[in-house]
Amino acid sequence: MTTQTDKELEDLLLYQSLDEADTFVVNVTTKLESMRKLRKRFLMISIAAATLSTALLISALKIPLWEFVSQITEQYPLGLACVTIICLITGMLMHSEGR
Amino acid sequence: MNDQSLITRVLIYDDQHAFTTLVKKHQLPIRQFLRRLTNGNHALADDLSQQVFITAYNKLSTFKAASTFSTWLHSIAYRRFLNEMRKGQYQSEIKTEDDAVFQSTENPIESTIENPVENEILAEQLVARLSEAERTCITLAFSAGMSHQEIVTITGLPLGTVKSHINRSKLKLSNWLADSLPRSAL
Repeated sequence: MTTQTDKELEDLLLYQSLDEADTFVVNVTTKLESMRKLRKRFLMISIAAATLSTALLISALKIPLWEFVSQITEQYPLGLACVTIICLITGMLMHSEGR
Repeated sequence: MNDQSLITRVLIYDDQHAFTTLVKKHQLPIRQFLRRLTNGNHALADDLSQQVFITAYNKLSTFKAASTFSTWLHSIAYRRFLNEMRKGQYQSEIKTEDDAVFQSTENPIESTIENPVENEILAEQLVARLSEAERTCITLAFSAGMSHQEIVTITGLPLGTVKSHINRSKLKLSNWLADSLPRSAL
């Protein structure tokens, strides 16, 4: 294989510029923007749902919040710690995904 | 601003302008690479290219500076292409070598390499006659200017296989090119 042939092939296979580059960039940024909005919306809905379900649970117990927390802390300290860690990890993951 | 600085800006400040700059900078090689792999199916290539940049954005934190950003993007593009092939959605578009030769016998290519548009069409036609692996290796080597080691990183093929694909493709392309072009164009 000669160098001349290599040069001919390089000239032939060289990428040519594409006219619709700006449209492509706009399409990508638009898709990213809509994806980001969707994730933020999902995050907001998740937080709202979690808050609402917690509030409903506490109201269903018919005891004051501080009493509920102290009872849980006393009776299930390990479970509470696990739930807190899981919530923290989930929150961090969702935050990084929603970036 | 180099790629690493732009990536850092995206990761730390979530700078959308920095990511747009990265897309602008790398869209041409990625889109052209996928156009060659998909045998000139421009719509599919652009769809896949968009997916490549969206995946790159989502996985940017996993990018390690062990390879260049361009190599990393090409790896994503190649995997996307393989996934698309596995889905079988565009199997009918892939011409076998024999089909292509048959087509070329009926419609001899009479382009010259002087006009960039005709040159691109001719390049796509000739590259389409190669097998998928040959097409990938020759495009990365000659069009994207990648080293053999970078091609190994992108395709996951052994170094010897990459070298033999490139040599075989060079031989085939130079023969086809000689047959396709008028002698004065060479």
